[in-house]
Amino acid sequence: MRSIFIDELTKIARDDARIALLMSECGFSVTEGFAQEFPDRYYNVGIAEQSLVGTAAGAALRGLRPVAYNMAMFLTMRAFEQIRVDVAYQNLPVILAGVGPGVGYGSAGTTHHTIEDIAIMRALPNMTIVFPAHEIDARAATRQAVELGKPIYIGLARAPRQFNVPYGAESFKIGSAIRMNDGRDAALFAFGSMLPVAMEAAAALAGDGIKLRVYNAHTIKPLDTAAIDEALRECGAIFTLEEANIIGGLGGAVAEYIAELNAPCVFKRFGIRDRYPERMGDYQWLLKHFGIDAASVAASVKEALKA
Amino acid sequence: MMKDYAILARKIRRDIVTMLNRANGSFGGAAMSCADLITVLFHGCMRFDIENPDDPARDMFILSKGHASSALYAGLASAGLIDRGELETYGMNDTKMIIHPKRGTYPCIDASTGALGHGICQAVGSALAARILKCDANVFVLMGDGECNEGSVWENAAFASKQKLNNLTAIVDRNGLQGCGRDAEVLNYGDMGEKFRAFGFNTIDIDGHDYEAIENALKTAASRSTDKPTAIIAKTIKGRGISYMEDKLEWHYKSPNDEQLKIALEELAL
Ligand SMILES: Cc1ncc(C[n+]2csc(CCOP(=O)(O)OP(=O)(O)O)c2C)c(N)n1
Repeated sequence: MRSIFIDELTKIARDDARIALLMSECGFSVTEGFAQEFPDRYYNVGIAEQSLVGTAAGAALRGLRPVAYNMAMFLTMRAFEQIRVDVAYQNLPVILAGVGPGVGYGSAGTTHHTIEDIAIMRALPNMTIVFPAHEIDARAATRQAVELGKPIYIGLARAPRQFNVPYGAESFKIGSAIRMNDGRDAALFAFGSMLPVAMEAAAALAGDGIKLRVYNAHTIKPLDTAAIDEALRECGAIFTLEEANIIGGLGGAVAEYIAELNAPCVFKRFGIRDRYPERMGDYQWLLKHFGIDAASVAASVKEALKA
Repeated sequence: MMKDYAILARKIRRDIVTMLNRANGSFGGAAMSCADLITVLFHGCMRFDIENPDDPARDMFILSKGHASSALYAGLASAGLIDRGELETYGMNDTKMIIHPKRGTYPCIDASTGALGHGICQAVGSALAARILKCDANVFVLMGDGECNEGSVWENAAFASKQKLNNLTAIVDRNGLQGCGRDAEVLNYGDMGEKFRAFGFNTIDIDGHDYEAIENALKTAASRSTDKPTAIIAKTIKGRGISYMEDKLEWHYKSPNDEQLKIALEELAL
């Protein structure tokens, strides 16, 4: 996803002189193309995330459309106050591009996981949060992020799974969830790397006669409440799936919305249940460990629908 | 009398490259760079009791450049603090020998590291606490030179010297390479010792692969002959000891395949 993002950004930068790519020691074998083509618009600020975000904000003060590119955990958490005050509070058009959110860095361990980003970034006024799941999403999201002209955090999965989506580039709009199929027994909202997992779970459930509708909830903020309304109307049961802590994540956002409707429905959040792992393993191992691999999700959906 | 550090370090390097090959792991350059420092720390300088590694009075070591953990684990095994067989679980599934170490998983893993720029703060806090608690322990922290890009390093260095924490020794693994280039191309810190002196540290410049120099520097720092914290600036070569890794940026990322492991073990023959 990061290579697609950089590739699209490079294309945009050919026509848009406001684009600058700033990074803090991240992008080995990914950002070199941009660097070669735009040496005066590409900077490594060193291993210094706070400096990265503050510098990007400063460049935006003069009208640039800077991208602050770094590993997701260090970008969002090390530099959080710069994101809050310099970017969100000043409502500046900085694109925060976080590589490998969730547990994408697998066996590297908890220091390199990002399971808190959705909760903290959601809490920032003015912030948009988008997680592409597919190349189509990534290219469209990059262009729209530049057009948006406001703070945006884009989560770029490290090793995204290849899968087919039933839509084209014109269907991707920041802020609008995309319906992936027309199941009617329940709806599952998922984003980023969890979308192919949700699709796989839906395929498995189909074998059991459960028609699970999946939404690509690529924009976590602002939440597409119209899609939730639609799901409530047509499916009745709602689930969310994320490679993040369930506290404050997409599930939290959907729960907040549904709770205020005073319209009880079957609802459950799937994600990391508020813990750091004691032992470690690779990406697939971690998904299983947290119960968010396709088989576990399918079983959880079944369980929840039985209750 | 000086121990045979050269043999001990060679064995540690053999373990490191074997672990990285098995786990398909990165950061060989970083581990080889500090393998000699870790060898002398655990075999000739740190005070701990293998029978009682949890003794709160023992010396403490924080590997702030946590990505070089393969060197730390191999060093702990070499010192008898962990079973050498455990090294086979490094970076594998369902392991507690995590690539970026987690506090409490093994004796003497005193802090969870991997996010750069945290180690010195925790080391300073521990050194301060040792003084408050009237504990004689020394605290050692090993940082990368790229890691010193982080502002937190300098914020804390100022505090350590203001507090006259002479029970603190910061070691900088000055290999001149970081994650995306050479220090000289990124922020160009130049004379690292000069910077630490400006922040109130004693500094000792050494060749980080010269065992005698390492031992002397660590012992001088631990003797607390002044009221300042000490920074040891260890000039090193990233990937040291394996010809194809030495001073090569890509070995921050690459993992030795079977053929490369074979070559490495030949070069590191005992
Ligand atoms: C806060 C933070 N930012 C970025 C990284 C990613 N990272 C891991 S190692 C590394 C380079 C470290 O260079 P240096 O400190 O010189 O150590 P060396 O590997 O050369 O020994 C980077 C940027 C990180 N682990 N933590």
